[in-house]
Amino acid sequence: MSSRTGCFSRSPGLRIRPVAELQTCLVYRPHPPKLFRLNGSAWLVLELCEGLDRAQLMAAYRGVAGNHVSAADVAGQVEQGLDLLMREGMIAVSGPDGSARGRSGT
Amino acid sequence: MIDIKSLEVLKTMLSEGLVLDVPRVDAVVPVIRSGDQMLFRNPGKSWLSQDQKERLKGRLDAGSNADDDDDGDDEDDTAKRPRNVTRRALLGQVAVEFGFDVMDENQADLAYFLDWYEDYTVAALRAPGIRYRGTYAVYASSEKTAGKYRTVWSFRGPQAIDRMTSAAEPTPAMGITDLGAITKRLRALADTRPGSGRSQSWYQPAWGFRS
Repeated sequence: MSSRTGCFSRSPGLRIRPVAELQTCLVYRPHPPKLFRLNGSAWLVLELCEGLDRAQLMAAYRGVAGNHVSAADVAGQVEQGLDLLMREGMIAVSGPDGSARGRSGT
Repeated sequence: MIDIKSLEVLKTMLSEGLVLDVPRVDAVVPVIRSGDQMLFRNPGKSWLSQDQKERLKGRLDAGSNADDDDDGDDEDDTAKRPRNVTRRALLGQVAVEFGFDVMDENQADLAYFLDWYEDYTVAALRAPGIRYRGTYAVYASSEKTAGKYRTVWSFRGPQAIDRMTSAAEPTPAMGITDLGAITKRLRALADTRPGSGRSQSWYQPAWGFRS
C-alpha cells in the first residue's frame, strides 16, 4: 500500500501522451525504460501528483471527476491508482522530512 | 518534462463521457506491424520468458521450429523421433481457418489468454478427431480484410465437426461446456467493429477428397 503520509510527485523525465481516440494515455518511464498504457482513472491520479498529499489528492480527484465517480468510489480509485503508479515507478512520495521514497516503498 | 496539456485532454474526454473505472496500468508490449508487412520473428528469440519459450517450442511440431537443426536430410533423424508421426503433411480431412482482428487495447489480453488457452485446449479437448492447431499472427498477406490473426482447427471428418459444434455451442438445455466457455472468451477478444478484419476458410486436401 502507498504511504499514508507525504506528498506525491511524478518521477522525473516522465512522458505522458494522450491517445484520446482510444480513451487512454501512454506513459514513458525513462528509468528504467518502459512504456505503459493507463486508463482514465490511473491517468487522472498521475496528472494530479504534483506535490499534493493524500487528502489534497482526493479533493482534487473529486473536483475533476465531478459526478463521473461516486463519492464512495473516489477514495478507492485514488488509493489503487497511487499503488499502481508507485509500483511502476511513475510517482514517488516525499516524506515529512522531505526524503523521497519510490517504488520500493522504503 | 511534464505535458501540461494532457490534463486538459483528459478533462475534455471526461466531459465527452469518459467513464472512470478501476485504475489500470498495463505495460505496453510493442507489436511491430504495418499493413500486410509484419516483421517475422523467431518465437525462440521473442520477448517471452525462458520458461514461456520452452513451452512454446513444445507446442510446435517437431521439425517445424526455426531453432531445430533438422533440415530434413538427416539420416539419423529416425533415431530421434518416429518419422511417420512427425512428417505427416496434411492437417486432417478438414481444416478450418478463422481470421480475426484484435483491438490494440486487447492485444495484451490476447497474449495472456493464448498462453494458457493453447495448453488447456490441447489438454481438455478429448473429442476424437478434433485438433486445435494454434493461433497465428499474420505477418504477410495479400488479403487486407481477412484479419491479422488466424486460428486453425483440423477435423478427421464431418462427424468430428458436429462434435466440435455441439461442444463449443451446445444447446441451451445442455448449458455451456468448459471448451465452449473458453472458445467464447477467445471470440470475445476479436474485434467485431464494422470494417474490422474477419474471415473463415474451410479446406480439404486437394488430392483424394475432391472429385
